Formats: sequence, structure tokens, C-alpha cells
Amino acid sequence: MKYYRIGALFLGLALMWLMVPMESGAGDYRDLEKQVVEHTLPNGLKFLLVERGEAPVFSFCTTVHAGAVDEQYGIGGIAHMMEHMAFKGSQTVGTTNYAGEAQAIERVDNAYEAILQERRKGVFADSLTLARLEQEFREAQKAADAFIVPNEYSKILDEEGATGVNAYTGADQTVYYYSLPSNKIELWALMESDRMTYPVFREFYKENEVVQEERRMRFESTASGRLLDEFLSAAFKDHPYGHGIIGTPSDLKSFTRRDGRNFRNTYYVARNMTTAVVGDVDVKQTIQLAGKYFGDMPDRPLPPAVDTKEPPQMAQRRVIMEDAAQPFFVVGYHVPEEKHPDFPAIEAATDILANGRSSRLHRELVKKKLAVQVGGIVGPWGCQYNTIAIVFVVASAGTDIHELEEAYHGVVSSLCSEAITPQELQGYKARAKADHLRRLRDDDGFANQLTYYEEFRGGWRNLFTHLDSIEALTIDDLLRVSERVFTKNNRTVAMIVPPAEQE
Amino acid sequence: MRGLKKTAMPIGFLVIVLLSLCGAAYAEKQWEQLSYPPLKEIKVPEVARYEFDNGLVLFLLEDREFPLIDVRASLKAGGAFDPADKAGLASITAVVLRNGGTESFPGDDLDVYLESIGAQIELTTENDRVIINASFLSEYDDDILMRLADLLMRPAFPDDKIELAEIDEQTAIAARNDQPFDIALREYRKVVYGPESPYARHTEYATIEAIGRDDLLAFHRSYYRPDGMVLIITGDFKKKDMKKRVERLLGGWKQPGEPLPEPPAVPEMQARGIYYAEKTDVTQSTILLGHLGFRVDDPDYPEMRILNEILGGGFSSRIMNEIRTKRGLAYMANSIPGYAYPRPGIFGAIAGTKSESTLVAIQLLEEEIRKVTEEPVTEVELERARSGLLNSFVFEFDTRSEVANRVGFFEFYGYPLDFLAQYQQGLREATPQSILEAAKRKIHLSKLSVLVIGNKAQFAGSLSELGEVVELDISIPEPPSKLEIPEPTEESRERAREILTKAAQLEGGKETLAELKSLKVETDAKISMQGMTFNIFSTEIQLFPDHQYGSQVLPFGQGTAVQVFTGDAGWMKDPRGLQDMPEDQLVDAKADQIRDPIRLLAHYENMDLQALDPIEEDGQTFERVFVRTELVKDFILFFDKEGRFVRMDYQGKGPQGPVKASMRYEGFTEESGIGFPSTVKLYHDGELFLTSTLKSVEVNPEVDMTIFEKPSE
Repeated sequence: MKYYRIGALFLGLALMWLMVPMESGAGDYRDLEKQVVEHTLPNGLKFLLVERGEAPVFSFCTTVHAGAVDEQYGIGGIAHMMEHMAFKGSQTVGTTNYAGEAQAIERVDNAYEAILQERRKGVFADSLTLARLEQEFREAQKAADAFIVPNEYSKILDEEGATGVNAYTGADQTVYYYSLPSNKIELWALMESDRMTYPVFREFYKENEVVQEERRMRFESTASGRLLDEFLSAAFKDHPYGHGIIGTPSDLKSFTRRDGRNFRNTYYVARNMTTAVVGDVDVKQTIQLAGKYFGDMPDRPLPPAVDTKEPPQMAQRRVIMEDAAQPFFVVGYHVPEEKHPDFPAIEAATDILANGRSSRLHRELVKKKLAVQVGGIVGPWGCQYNTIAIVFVVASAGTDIHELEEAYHGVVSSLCSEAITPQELQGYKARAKADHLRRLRDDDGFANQLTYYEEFRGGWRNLFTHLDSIEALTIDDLLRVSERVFTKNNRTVAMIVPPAEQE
Repeated sequence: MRGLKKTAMPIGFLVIVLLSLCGAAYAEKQWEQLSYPPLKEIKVPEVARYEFDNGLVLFLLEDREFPLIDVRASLKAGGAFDPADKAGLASITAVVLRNGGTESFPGDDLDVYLESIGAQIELTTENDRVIINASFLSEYDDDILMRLADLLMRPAFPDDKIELAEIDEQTAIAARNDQPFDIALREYRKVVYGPESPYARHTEYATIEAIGRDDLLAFHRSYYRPDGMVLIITGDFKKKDMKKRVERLLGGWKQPGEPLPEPPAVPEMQARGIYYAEKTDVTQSTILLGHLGFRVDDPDYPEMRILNEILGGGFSSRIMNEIRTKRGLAYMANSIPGYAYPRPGIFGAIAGTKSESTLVAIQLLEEEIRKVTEEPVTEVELERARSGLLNSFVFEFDTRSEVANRVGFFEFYGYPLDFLAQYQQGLREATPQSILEAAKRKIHLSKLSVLVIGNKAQFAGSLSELGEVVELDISIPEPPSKLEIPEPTEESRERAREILTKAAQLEGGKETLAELKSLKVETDAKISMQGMTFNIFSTEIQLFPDHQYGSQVLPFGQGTAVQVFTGDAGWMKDPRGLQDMPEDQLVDAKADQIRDPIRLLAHYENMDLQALDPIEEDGQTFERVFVRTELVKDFILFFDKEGRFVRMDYQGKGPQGPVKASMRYEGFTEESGIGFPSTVKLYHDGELFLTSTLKSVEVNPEVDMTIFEKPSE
């Protein structure tokens, strides 16, 4: 609820460079695999449980296989909105009397939908009618508010010592997580199952205002936010990855609580999510609690997936934004989905190109004073479907952005002309392993990875074979994918240029 | 339930809803029925502490689960020690220490080496300290520790890496107004600590330019030292071996002669002010309230910690509830707790709200703060906050590196090792009354300043309702002049007047020029930018002394742009719309009139001039006159061998920031006894930027005064 994936990425451009190595014999990470216990409830909800660690704490993570990519036209942003709604409580948490509240919420829904209908008439809308409807809406909200125990969900968890209570929404997934002292495992089972099984989307239209503020903060009030919005819609012409995550201003103002409920009922089904619990937990007891509390979730079929495929890009696309902000550019290249066998090679090539002080772009652009920052990432918005790899370059003061772009393309083409050296590939392998393993070091990271692999990478066990596919990479693999991916017609360039001077 | 039936909902869901309704009746507040087993005892691992003769304190904690070692060193070498005129020195020193490497192992080699083994060494500069973090495989421990010690004691500080770090800083300066949040935090520190405080200081082009390699060496000598440094190592090693290794590597590092410098003092609490910084491209205001806070070892800390939870610390706080949950006015709305470890922190609040609701949000924040200083918090709130803090205490100990790092942190800032236990005791003893008393001691509504970054044109209401508003000038000062101009003498002043007199005569004489009433000039301009060339047809009407009207036909059929300047005000109109000239453009327009050759040659007697030594360029000798004026920097006029005014150099503004501008006048056209150049070329940093060809000139045309009037929208 406090950030979602794309925001986090660009806030932390510099953070992409994390690494810790793991070569030596002590503690082979594959041993961790044996500590994972899988348990699936009759309704299809899967649990992955790991007992480990010294401290009396545990972390959980639930990955729902639903995100912005699953939104139809007109409800852009509803997945993210549902993430916010998950903190509003349930039929027992956050209310003084749910039966009464449910009726009051109905009245709010009806009032809001009536306003929408009248507004759709545009210039023919009757202002008196509108004023009356708006009055009714305010009164209905007030009546519904009377049943609310504000933020009770967070209060209960805070009071019991929960930390890191949060969630995020990506194009592919919505993820919920927090940590608790380990004697509170039953509280977790109760609270988490409750909001997943009996959610109540209270204060929907006020929370919607909050999301609009989030949009203003992340996208509208910064030049980089405005550019990225344009970039994404230029990079995809058919696939919903191009719609972004937060939703358009008009969708945010026009989707309704009922739209949200429909989305939730379709996508938040037990079979479509995985929960991991990692830390100082008794696996047997946790399985028992899972059955007791999550067993109520209905057993419903898997939701539809997105069958639209982004067609091959036939021509370069360019987005030029004039703005006084610091000039920078982002280049996107279409690449296959992460299940594709070439995906590891594309990640490797992108990393060697753009990440770390010894990367090609850093050496050629940053160390030569043309740029102050470079970075690359594959599928930042999502990669369960064919996606894009992006590289960004931030110009140093006084550098002509067009000259910088030219230099950039020169470096990119060197990936094909001056073959990747064994040293570069070896370095990548060392960093990728470190990265992969660091994610497993803490309980919350481990829980997150288990659920991600289960939902998106063909099962959690692949978490422990992932490094084999990296170890197997050859220079030829990287060359082959580079030649295909880093081409002129396959790229979308978005840049901020200084405003043309008008004198 | 009538609404539920109306919507098309799967039967399964309906059943569940009905079931849960039944459930709700008997199992209300299920969470209150849960009973928890006692929490397992927290086993706090013991961290070994060693102090060497040179003052270095080392903490070691083994963690053999992974073959990894983490190093964290803290040094009292933070930004607060920057000399005022060299802000940025601490940060540049840290960056170049890492990027420059040592004589025997240069930075570029270090980059390649570290990345090839997946290791990292990174430095971070804060106000109060520099932190070095290193992380690597235990099999490389000898090598990396040796490199680290070498970097600390014998950095090379090579010039090219200094330049690179300075470019980084300059770029950051150029971009520092891009994000409203960056502006807010920068200005907030000035509001709370006072604009001159070392804790609010930030870089400028001038302070970066003032920094040279000698400064880095001196800073390193004074502040990178074993005494005051705390080194924490956790991971896969044997304590005894590691201690020996560190002693061998760093035990011989000598303290400098001078004692460890004390950090600069924090000033008194500032008076309340209402501050506003304009950023017109935002749809949301960033609002900060604040005044000086206190240190964590203040006796009121446990109470204030609880109070912060209640007021605006978390999702269930009062501020969050009033502003976000109840009213949907903000995504971000929090209190700022007031305490910090090294020195008094900042107490206040922060919110981001759509421009229109700026004032409402400020009032709500102030109201919530006021309430906690007047009424005790409720027992329920207190219990909830206290339980939350006590229950989450276990997370202070959930990893070994956390435990070791905290012990080191306390040592570094002089906190007792049992500080956490004291604090925990304080939490247990707090009462609504003791919290109210603490709030009264620590929160001062009359001192609470307000800072808003936003677009006031879209505010509902005016900030002046809150008090007198100080508009902050956040424009970025240009780099200082690098020119070295000798002190003027009577002789050089006299010589300058002679040169100008002659030049004026060649263009018609200063009297003729001074008598000019108006002028209309049409030109064709060619602008080269970003590898493209644009043609712009331009008309300029001057009504002396200070009215000016310019219009340009824009390229690519984009329409026409108009600018009008009338001495102290102006407006602009282009296809995007009509607006008053912003402050910085007014300044530019004034500077433009100062540089106008006709005004220069007509009124040179009123100006502060001095002749410089002639120079040779391209086989020609030019006489030069320096013009000292506030608005135009590095302003030098050039005259050819006949004495004709042919060129002026000055600091100008290019599309991408400050440039060295050079305006060259070529050719000669006479009109009504006055000479005009037929071509004007403008160079930016030595590259041709604009060529303007004279199309027509009218001397003393009738000027329709209505052209200066701002049209209605």
C-alpha cells in the first residue's frame, strides 16, 4: 500500500547494484530446499513453510497472481486499489456492526453510480440534479462512516508488535507481507485469512482520493514520472503492460466499488495465490492453523489470463519531452517472457551493459563524464508475459543529451561487435549468485521468493535450480540474444530535453 | 442485503457472505479471544569489544551460517565538518577515496576486481559521519581487509576522479529543484536549523569549484583517523584471528597531532515562519511543519516515542486517520518524531496533498499537534502504542549483524550499552500525564514553522492567513566568475572612457544614440541546437529608455511568441498561453537591456568601466573593457583595431544551464546616421549557437503604446 513496483524501482535507481557472493562450501543454499514444507488446502491454497533461525520471529508473504495486467479498459488501477482495500478490514475487523454497515455501503455505491450516470451526460448534465446526488453521496458516506472503527486492522497488528506491515502491486502480482513475534502465529492466521476470505471494501471512495494523491506524488509532480508514463504507453501498443499500474486519472474517478468487488472475486481465489511462512515457526502447528483459518476460502476456478501478445515491433519509437528537469533517457527493448529459455541470457547481457562500476555503460559514459548514472533491468513492470528490458542514462550537467544518446548506442552495439569477455561473464555470474542468495538471507526475502517462484517460475523448487541456468550461460548465448534484442527497430527511446529557448 | 442480490455474483460467494454473517454474530473480535504462549527468550549474542592504543574501537561478532563477512566502519568525517565555502568536501572526499583507489591499486582496477568476485565496498556521507560498508565472501577476507585499510590510510585522490565527483555534484545541483520532495527536505533543514547551520548547508557551484585536491588531502588528514572510528565486523571468521588481523592492518595507524574535532553546535530553536517555495509544474503541495527537536538520550524520549506513534507514526495514528483515512486528502501524512541520536532532531509533520487542499491540510496537521500539547492521550491509545513498541522489541535482535551494528552505533555516538533497557523501562513507566508533560516541554506551537512547496495559484485560500509569508528563492545561483580582473585604477578607467567614446562616434556618436526615442529591428535568426537548426523571424521594438517588445515567428508552423518588458514588469505569450514574466526572466530581461549595444554606447559614462590589457586572437588585436555590473557577470567588451565595438563576452544562459556567451558583431549598415551590425553571431561555450541577419531597421518609428499592454486571456 505504500509503494508499488514501478515507483520503488525508480526511487531506487541506484539500488539495483546489490551483491553478495556465495561461492565457498559453508552452507550450500540448496540445503535450504530440504527445509521447505509444502502444504495445499482442499480449496487449492498453497502454503510453503520453513522453520529456521535463532530469533523468535517469523515473516509471511502472500503472492496473488493478479495485477494491473489483468485489468480491462475502464478499470485501470483497480488491482492497486484492491491492495489498498485489503487494509480496510473485514466483516469483523473495522466495523461496529457489519450487517448495518453493509446496507450503508450499498447506499454509498448507489449514490456514486447515480452521480456517474448524470456526469456522463456532459454538458447536458443537470447541475441541480448533480448537486442533489452529491449531497446524497456525502450523506450516505457519513452514514457508512458511523459504522467504522478506523484503521482497526493496522491497529491490532501494530499493537501485537508486527513490523513491515505492507503490500505492493505490480503488473503481474499483488503481494502482502509482514513479520510478527513467533508466539503470535495464530493472530497472523486469523487476521490474514479474515481479510482474504471476508474482505469489506469500506471507505472505497475516500481511499480512491488517496490513490489519486499517490498518482500526483509519483507521476504528475515530477518530470521523470511524467516521462515514464509516456514511455510505457509508447513501448506497448497492444499488451496491457503498457497501461502502467496506478491507472489513468479518469479511470480512477469512474471505477466503482462494485468493479473492485468483481475483480477481487475473479482473481483473489485460493488457487491463484501462494503463502509462505518463514522463521521460528512450528511447521506442524502452522499447517493446522492454515487448515483451521484458511479452509473457509471458497474453492473456485483459476481466473482468465491475458492472451494478447505484443506484436513484434517494426519501427523505432521515440518520445521526446521538453522540460527544464535534468535531461535523461530511458531505452526499452522488447524481450520474451521470463519462462523463455533466452531470458537468463538477456538478463546477463543487460547487466553487463548497464549495472555496476565495471559495466560497459558505466565505463564509457559515467567514467568519461558524459553521464552521472546508468542502470538496466529486465521486465521492471512485469515479466510473466513478453516484456521489455530497460536501460536508463542520466546526463551530467552540460552534456548534450543527443550526443549522449549517440554515445550510448555506440556502447550498446559494442555488445555485439566487441564480444563479451570471459571476465565480464564470470563477474556477472558471481554477482547474480550473490544477488539471488542475498534475497534468501532474511526470512521476509525468502518468503517472497518462494511465493514468486511458485506463482511465476514454474514452482518453488526452481528457486534452487535458478543458478544452474545462470552457470550454464556462454558468451555465444549472450551474443545471440544481444544481436536480436538490442536493435534499432526494437527500441523505444524516451528522453527529457531542455525546452527550446524562445528569445 | 438487498444490494447484494442485485449484482451478478457467483453463488459460492453469496454463501460465504451469509456464512460469515452468521460467524460475525458469535465470533466478534475473535482476535481478542486469542491467547499467546510466552515468547521464547531472546538470546542476545555477545559482541566482543576491543580498543586499540590509537583509539580505534573494534566490535566483532561471529555468524557462521553463511560464508560471508560484513564490515561497517563509522568515522567522524561527515558533512557538518565542511567549511562553509567548501560545502560538499566531506562527500567528495568519501567518493574519491573509494573511486580513486590507492597508488598501487587504482580505483578502476578496484572496480573490476570487486565486481569479479561479487564483493562491494561503498561509502556514504551523512551530516554526522561517514559510513563504510563492505560485504564479501569470507575466503577473500585477507585481501579485502588489506585493500580497505589501504584505502582508509593511503587514498590516492587522483585528479580525474576528483573531477568526476565534482561533475556529479554539479549535476546534482542542476537537478536539485526537479523533485518537490528534494526541495522540501533541503529547505526544511534551513528552516529548522537556521540557514547558516552546518546541519542545513548544501552545495553550490561556487563551493564545489572551490574544492581542490589539497582540500581532500587536508580533510582526510584531519578527519579520517583511528580515534573516534568504530569498526564492526560480523560474519564467517574466528574472533581471535580477526582481532589480530585488524590490529596488524590498522593498529599502526597514527592519530594526527590535533585532537579529534568536536562536531559543530546546533543552534537555538528558530522563530516561527511561514515559508513558501514555488514550483509550478506540480499538482500536489508538499507540506512540512517543524521546529528543533531533541536527542534520543533526553529523559522525555520514551514519552515522545509513544506520543509519535499516537500522533502520526504509523498507519493507525491520529494524523493518518484525520488526513488520509477520513478525508482522503493525502497519500503521505506523518509526524516527524523530533529525536535523533547524534544531535537534536526535528519535530514536526509532513503531508502531500493536492494543491487546492493545501491550507486545509496545514490546519489539520496543526490541530492534531496542538491537541497533544493540551489534552492527555487516552489510556487506550497509550496501551496500544506501548504494546506495539514493546511487542516489536524482539525485532531489534532478529539478526546478528543488527545486534553488532547497534552496539557499535551506541559506542560511536556515546550512548550507554544498556540504553535499550533504559528506554524499555521508560516505555513501561509512561502515563498519559507524563506524556502530556513531555509534549509540553518538547512541542512549541508558537515556534512551529510551516514550509510549503507548491503552486499557490491553485491553492484554495492564501498562506498569508497563517502569518507573514516568506517566499523562498530556490533559484540556483550560477557558478562564480573565474575571471581575474585587476583592481581598477584611475588610468584604466580613463582608458575605458576613451575607447567607448571612440566606438560611440563610429556608430553615430553618443549624443545621437542617447536621443533615440524608438527603434524597430527585424531579423532572421538561425539557431543550432541539439544537432538541429531552426529558423526564426524576429521583430523587436524598443521604446527608450526601458520598454521592449519582441515577437518571433516560431519554426515548424508553431505560431508566434511575444515578450514584453517594461522596465520592472513583463508578460509573455506563446502558443501554450499567456503569462506574467516569471522573476528569473525579468532578471534576464534587465540584464539584456544592460547588454544592449545602443544603451551601452549611449550611456557608458554612467557605468563602472575599466580597460583591460588588449589581447590577440586569430591574428587580430582587440582592446577590451570590463563592465562591472551586478546583473551581468564576466562582462567584457571587445573593440577592433579601428576602435569599432565588435564583440562582448559574458556569462549567459543556454538551454542547458550557464554558458560562456560571446556575441560577435559583423558587417555594418547605416540607417539615419546610426550604424548597425548586419550580422550578429552568438557563441555558447565556443560553439556557434545563433546567427541573426538584419532584415530591416526603422529609426524613431511611431510606437503604438497598446502593444505593451497585457492582452486579456
